[in-house]
This record gives sequence, C-alpha cells and structure tokens, in this order.
Amino acid sequence: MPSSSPALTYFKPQHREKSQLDGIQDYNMKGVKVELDHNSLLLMDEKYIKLPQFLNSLTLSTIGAHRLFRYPFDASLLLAQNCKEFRKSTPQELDAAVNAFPLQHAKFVLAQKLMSKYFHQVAKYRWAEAIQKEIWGFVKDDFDFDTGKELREDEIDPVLLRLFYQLKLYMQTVIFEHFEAALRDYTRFLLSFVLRDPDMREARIVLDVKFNPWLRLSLKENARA
Amino acid sequence: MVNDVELIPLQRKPMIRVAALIADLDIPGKVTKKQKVVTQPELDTVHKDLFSVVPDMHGALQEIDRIDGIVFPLLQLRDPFLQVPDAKRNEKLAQYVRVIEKLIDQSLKPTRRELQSLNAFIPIFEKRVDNIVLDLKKRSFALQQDLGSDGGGDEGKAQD
Repeated sequence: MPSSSPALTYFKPQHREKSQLDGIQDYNMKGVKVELDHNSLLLMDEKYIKLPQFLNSLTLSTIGAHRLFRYPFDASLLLAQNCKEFRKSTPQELDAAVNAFPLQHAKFVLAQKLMSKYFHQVAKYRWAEAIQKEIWGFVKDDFDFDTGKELREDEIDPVLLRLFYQLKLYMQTVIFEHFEAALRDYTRFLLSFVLRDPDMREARIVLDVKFNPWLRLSLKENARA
Repeated sequence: MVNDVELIPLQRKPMIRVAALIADLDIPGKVTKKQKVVTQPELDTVHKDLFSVVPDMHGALQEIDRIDGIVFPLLQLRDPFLQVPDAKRNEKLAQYVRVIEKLIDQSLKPTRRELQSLNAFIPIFEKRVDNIVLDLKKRSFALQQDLGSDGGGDEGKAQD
C-alpha cells in the first residue's frame, strides 16, 4: 500500500462547541468507532507495527547493557567517573580496594553510589534521548504540530497522545524491572555472606527467603549461567 | 520451596572489615578513667550505609524525562518525569526491601554479640589488683554461704 494512500491518513475529529451539536445523536458509539478505525489504520503502518521490536533493541543496547547493582565493580568504569576519592588510584589499586573481601565499607558504598549515578546518566541521556530521537523521526511527518507553541496534553493529536502513553508505560516497566533486578541481586549478594554461618540456615529470615512467593531470586538460572 | 538458597555460591571471606578497639570514655566530674570496646566503623553506621544502597539505586531511576516532554518542550505536564517504582506500596518490592534490611541486621548480629562479650571484660581492667582480690573473696564467701545453707537444710532434714 503506498504511503500516500488515504487509508493511512488519520482521522482528526473536528472540535465543535456544545451549541453546534444537533443533540445526543452526536455522541453515539458509531462516531467513536469511525474515529478509532481511522486511527488504527494509521498505526498499521509498518514502522508503527515494528515499534515494540525496535524499542526492545534500543533498550537492550543502552540501559539493557547495564545493571543497577553489579558485583564485582568494573574498576575502569569507576575511575572514569572521576571521583576525587578514587582519582589517584590505579585500576589495580581500586580493584583491590572495592573488590577484595573483607571490604572497607565506606569504599564499597561510595563505589555503589557512583555506579547508581552512572546508571541514571545512561537512562536519562542515552536511553530516553535515543528513544526521543527515533520517535521524532517517526512522528514528524505523520502529525501536525508546532513544537514552539505552549501546549496542553488535550491539545495533542489523540493518536500521538496514545503513542506517548504507550511509550511512558513501556519505559516505566523497564525501569521497574531494573529496580527489581537490582534488589534481587543485592539480596543474593548479602545472602552469599550471611549463609556462611551454619546457624543462619535455619534463621527466620532465611526461611522467609526460601518460602516467600513474592521473592524470585532466579537461583536456578543463575546457577546455570 | 520458592528459592533454593543452597544454590547461592558462598563467599569465602567476611564482607566488611570491622575492627574492635578500646576507647576512653570521658565522664565529666570523674577522675577515674573508664574504657569501652567499640568498633571502627560503628555497627550502626555500617547498617545505615549498607542499607543506603537501596535508596541510592531507587534515586538513579528518578528524573528520567518523559518522551512527550522532550518532543514538545513547551508541553504542560503535571509530572514531566517517568514514575519511579514505589517500593513502599508495591508488595513485591516492599518484600525485597524488608528482607535486605533484615539480612543486614542479621549479618551484624554476631559482631554485636562479640562486642558485648568483650565489653564484659572491661570492668576487670578498670579495677585495681587489691579490689579484684577483694571482689573475688566476696564472691567466694557468698558461694560458701549458699553451699552452707543448702547443706544445713539437708542436715536438718536428716536429723528429723
């Protein structure tokens, strides 16, 4: 189907004031259905159909390559953060300070803070901006808008608004999964020390970890890896 | 069983270096010196710092811009950022956070116990030798009295 086909143009409902309406007839479901059909046709364009696949690969290559909690720390990545406490260390010295047990807890906490900050930068500047760049390429030809004008959400084209809503949900799901994975990794990390004490194996908290249905530590997958 | 903890590879060494040291306690108005065994870093600080990893990770997810806000810089949005996971209201996340806090607490317990037992020796160091001898004499006298009263009761019963 050629892209100039009228089937791919979206239906924009014309705004009318209450006084211009004939009556309750204007609110019938048939009218709503026509609008939805037109919008659906626009979203049947190949680039919109492939959008989820594209978003997944973009996410994988940006924040997907990073974890909020990962141990051992990457000493060269830590050095690249140019933190004054670590600046004068060599990668070997830093590796010995933050990756050799028993740790100096202040250095461990500082290293984790730096890694959290780094993750934030990747999410904010690489991931979100990469998505924005691509989405802009998608929508600039399909929708009429003036980016230099102050807008309210209800003034955006309904199809575009729906697209933005889906994007927001998608991105929030991604950050939720990252946070859950980080909590899981940190729990596993702490357990690897706590369980060294044989008495702890029967402690209430360890039994809770064993049988709590909300906690999924992915231990089998991890053991296989 | 949901999580088989036996599959977790164990670390060979302890996680954090905590040193015990004897610190002087300054008591205002007293000439005598008192001492106490403390840890470096303090155990409460270790607990707080290890738990601070969780809010730090949560903070890393804040202030990530919404795509509509970047595409339309002049768009009026009630919240221009993506919603961060709510660790207090989300049942799943709340369980993880609770378990992490408990695990940190549990892992510091043996060190706390050790600290208490070390502190039990401090009063002995603080006493002068003659006071220790006097204290031991008092204890052995009290012990003899106890034994004597128990034995006396038995003798009385035998006589009856």
